[in-house]
Amino acid sequence: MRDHFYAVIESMPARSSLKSNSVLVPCNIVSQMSRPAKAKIKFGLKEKAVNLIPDQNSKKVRLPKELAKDLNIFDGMDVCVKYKNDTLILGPLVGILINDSAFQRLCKGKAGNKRMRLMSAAHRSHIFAYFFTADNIIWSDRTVRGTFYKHDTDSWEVVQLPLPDILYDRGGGFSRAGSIKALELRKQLNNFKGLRKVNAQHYFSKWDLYCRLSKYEDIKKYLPDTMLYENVSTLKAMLNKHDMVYLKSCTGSNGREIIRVKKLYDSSYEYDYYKNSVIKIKTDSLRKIADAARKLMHGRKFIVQQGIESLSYNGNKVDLRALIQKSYEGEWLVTSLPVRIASGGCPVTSTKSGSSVYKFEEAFLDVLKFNYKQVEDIRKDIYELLSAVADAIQKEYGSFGEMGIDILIDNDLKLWFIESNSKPAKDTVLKSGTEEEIMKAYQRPFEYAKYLSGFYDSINMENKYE
Amino acid sequence: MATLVNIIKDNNTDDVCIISKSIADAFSLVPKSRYKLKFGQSIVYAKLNISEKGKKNSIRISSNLFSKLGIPENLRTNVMVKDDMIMLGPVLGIFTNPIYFRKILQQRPPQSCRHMMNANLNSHIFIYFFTTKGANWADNIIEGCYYSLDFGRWIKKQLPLPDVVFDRCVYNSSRQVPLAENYREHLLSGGLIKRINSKDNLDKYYLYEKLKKYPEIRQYLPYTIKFNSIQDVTAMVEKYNTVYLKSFYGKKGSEVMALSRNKNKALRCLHFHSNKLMIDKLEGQGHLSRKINDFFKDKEFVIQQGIDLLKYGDKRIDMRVLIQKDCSGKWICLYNVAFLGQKDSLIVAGEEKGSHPYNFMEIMPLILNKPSKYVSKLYKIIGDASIKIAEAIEKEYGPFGELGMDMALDKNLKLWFIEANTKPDRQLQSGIIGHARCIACCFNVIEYAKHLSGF
Repeated sequence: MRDHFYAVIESMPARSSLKSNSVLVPCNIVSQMSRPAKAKIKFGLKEKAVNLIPDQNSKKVRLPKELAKDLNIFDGMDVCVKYKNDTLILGPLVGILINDSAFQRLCKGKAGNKRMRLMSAAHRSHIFAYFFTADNIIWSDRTVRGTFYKHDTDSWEVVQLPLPDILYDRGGGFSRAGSIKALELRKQLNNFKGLRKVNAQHYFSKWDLYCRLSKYEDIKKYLPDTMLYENVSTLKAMLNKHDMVYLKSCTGSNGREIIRVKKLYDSSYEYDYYKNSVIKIKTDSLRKIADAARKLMHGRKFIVQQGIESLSYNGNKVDLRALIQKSYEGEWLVTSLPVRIASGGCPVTSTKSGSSVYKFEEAFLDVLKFNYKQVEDIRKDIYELLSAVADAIQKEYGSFGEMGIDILIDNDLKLWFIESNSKPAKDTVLKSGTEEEIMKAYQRPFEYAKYLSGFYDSINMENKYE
Repeated sequence: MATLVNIIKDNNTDDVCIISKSIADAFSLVPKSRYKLKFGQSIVYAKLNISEKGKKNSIRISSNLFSKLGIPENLRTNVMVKDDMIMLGPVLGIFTNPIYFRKILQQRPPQSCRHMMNANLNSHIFIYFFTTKGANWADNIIEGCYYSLDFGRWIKKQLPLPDVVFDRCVYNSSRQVPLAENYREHLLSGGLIKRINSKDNLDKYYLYEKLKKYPEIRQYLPYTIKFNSIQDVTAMVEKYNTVYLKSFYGKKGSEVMALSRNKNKALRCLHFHSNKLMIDKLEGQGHLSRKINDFFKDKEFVIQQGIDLLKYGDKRIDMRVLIQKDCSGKWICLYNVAFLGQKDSLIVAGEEKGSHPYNFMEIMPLILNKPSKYVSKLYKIIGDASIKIAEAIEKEYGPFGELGMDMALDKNLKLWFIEANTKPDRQLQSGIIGHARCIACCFNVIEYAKHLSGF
């Protein structure tokens, strides 16, 4: 149940009849209040002591221009309002962290489809959301230069805003200097007690995740055998056990920094990887493979993972990328379950490598020609896996609002958990989902933000599925 | 006038501050009223009590306020009162690179750090060192390291942001650059923290562009242009025979290339590569262009008129002049160290690049073959010129507390200004300028910090 209100915030010129810190609030928002009372007003991490005056004549929250300026509030903002513990909370204020070049593009009004969708989703949820980067933060004033889309004027505004109460970390693809600054920023934001994060972690190291998850009996069965690469003998040991292995950088994403190595019958090896195009090389020296891997991974740590002979379609690898998100009640929901089919024998199924994306039913019934019963069984198993993995990850790392989970199905229809992504880009949803699904995928993090910042009273931390 | 006090932690927790009568009288403090208590950038409110007996010149602060302020225990420092604010300190934060900081934490403070502490023995300001780690901007605290007289060792503690920052963060890895810039930006964003130097570095080109507006200074400036094309270089060589190419922000002579043409118009190129002097003959413009590209990559750089430097035998000479503000904010010249470069090297850089530092007053009589009276006159002329240039720099960039000026004399003893350094090297051996001078350099910074923070 919704127990907060939507209201437009408006500033008004100073009036002689009102004190400079008076805020007029529609009666229904402060129903317990009959007379003006001292209270606090909160917007993002900024708080001010004010005099709240119940107002019967207007549906808008009105406050003096000077106060609005102090709180970095501007006219016509349409947000959620809640009166709780003597505090009038406007918000939640959601800050979306992005990289510097993306931010510069937005400031120039160049927004792509995904960022526009984020802004409209926030607008639909009556949430004020803005984009910011690791620069231009004034800690002493608790403000940051952010940019947001103004729907009524169809323009991007760049303004000074309070630090958010909810951090939605979408920061990736930083320059080297940018990533150092972003790390420092994340560390600093953790110091603010009032600030909550949609996701506890901004990335998973594949090795760390494997180590932590392999402690759980109910998850271990889904995990492919994995080792951290130390030297050629790691690779040798893994290839003795398995016919195919994957080398993956611990922090890589988008199918970059992945090499597939296959053992051939004549005791030589074949490895391939995707770098703008598929590159396939045959060699009989493991050392050569290790050298190639170190070069591709730019000297970063990488894992050696058992290759799973997955279901295939015309010789192309099939995998699933589930997007799970929490609802406004804090329960897990499966937003979408698209199936990706690689193209042209590519070792990865990342959408960046040109794979095709299908809806779950479409892929299994129409493309892979499974029967209805089989599809439902697989779906049940997948939901079980998602539930177990999401639970375990939260136990290990803290609370998450959304996660992308990569799953493989082998020829015996056994499920394998490959990796989890804490900043799912929703490309697969955009490619395969209906408009409704897409809108949901973008809106749910904002609804969850309301839950996180206490706009819904019902507290239900159990994780359930739709 | 500030007074020295002992700050003692009191066991009670009721927001009080008990001040000995001597201090209350000196600042005419009113008992039972509320005062602000300030240490660095942290401020708390306290009720004032006056104690008739007990230790003279002491301030007892209740333990809850004590921890909020972040004061180390048993601190002996200055007190100053302005309106309803009782200020303790001042707090000087010295911003260093992580390696320097780690050495202090390991109780192996570098010499410059020990000099600083020795210089503070009578000033009693609170000095701490910090680096690009451990700040918490949410609560405005920073993890610093200070010397505790009680324990006789360096102690790491969460401390308030300082009154004055002394920026000594000289990078030793490119990774530190974005972090250090971040720290500077945040420290200054509130506008409350003062700086010893208004800028953390001065680039070579814009500084020249700004200074050449001043007629009294123009005579010291070698002609400088920004590199746009290889034609600029050849034109400059044509005109001056010797030119220097320098990256905007290079330091310690590592991003400097000298080009010189002899009588037969053969072009030679000199530069340092990991502290080794490299000399190449250049054949044709293509070779020159390749060489420059390889050396500077995508960095911006200037082309500077070469100066026929004064020589001692076959070694060229240039000078590092340190000028500082004294306690009244007036510029003074602290030292002049002459560097004798490597044999036949056109570039005179630091000791690691084969140069040797000498005290100007000791070496110059030998070089010039003139009496020391003449040399001290020259010393004064160089110092005064440096100060004149520093004053112009201040007009352009805001106040500075200290500057390391690179000056040079040519064959005809004409004086040239090469560049200004906002973080002059403090690793100079005291053998050259004398131990007392080293301490004096630190003392001036401390006194200037006091001056800046109103003590």
